[in-house]
Amino acid sequence: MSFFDKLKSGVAEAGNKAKIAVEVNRLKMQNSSKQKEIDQEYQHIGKMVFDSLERESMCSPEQLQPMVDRIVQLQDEIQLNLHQINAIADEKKCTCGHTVPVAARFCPECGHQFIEIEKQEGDV
Amino acid sequence: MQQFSVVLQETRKWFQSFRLYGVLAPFELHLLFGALGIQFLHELLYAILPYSSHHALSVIFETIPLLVISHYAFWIGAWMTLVSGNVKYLPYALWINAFVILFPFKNIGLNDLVGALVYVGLGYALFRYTASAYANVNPSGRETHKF
Repeated sequence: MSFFDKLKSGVAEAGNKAKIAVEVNRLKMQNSSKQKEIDQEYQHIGKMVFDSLERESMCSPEQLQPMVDRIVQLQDEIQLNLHQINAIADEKKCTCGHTVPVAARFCPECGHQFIEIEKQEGDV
Repeated sequence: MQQFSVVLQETRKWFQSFRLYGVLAPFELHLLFGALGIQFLHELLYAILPYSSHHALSVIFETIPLLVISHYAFWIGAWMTLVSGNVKYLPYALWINAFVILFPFKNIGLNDLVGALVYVGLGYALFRYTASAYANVNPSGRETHKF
């Protein structure tokens, strides 16, 4: 391969890695914003409970339910973003929490075997 | 952020009314980062080459006004990227511009410092916008211009 071919392939590889890094950073920033919104909802719930206890009454679950629903929705969105990040970066998470390449069959930290479901030819 | 998104959409519609936009749009990232590359090369060559080479550099960057062209190419690329689906790359271009302003980190005055801080701030604000739900970001990074 000539020098210019190597240079072109190197530049293309760097460009691909830069695109992956930009997308991963964007998703991480999204997760950070969603986490802040979850913390604000927790504070809001806490304030409502405090105010109701101060008035010596209990706030009803119906008052808190919209905030709880919003927190659950944000947590689901955060998980979705984490899956997307792993998919973009060609990584997957082991049960021990260690991140490994998507093609890895064993975890180098705990030895956990990733069970691969092989698609058989002719399966429906 | 929603209002900013609406402003960008309307700005893009206005840009699309110019035929030149259609010609330059596929090269927006080339204009943006290419201009930064030329500006950085200018700073680097002046920093590393001896004084005897400065005349040659002056011919390249000032007589052939490569530096001025790169300055305007950066702004054209920045505006076009801002209204396109590639807006997620613009914060990094603004941060690289802040780096180029400060490079080679000698004789940094308040002028340079304020300029760099403005670009860092703008880049961070845009970074937060691109992470929001209102940004028209193309996840694959491919061109999104449709004419």
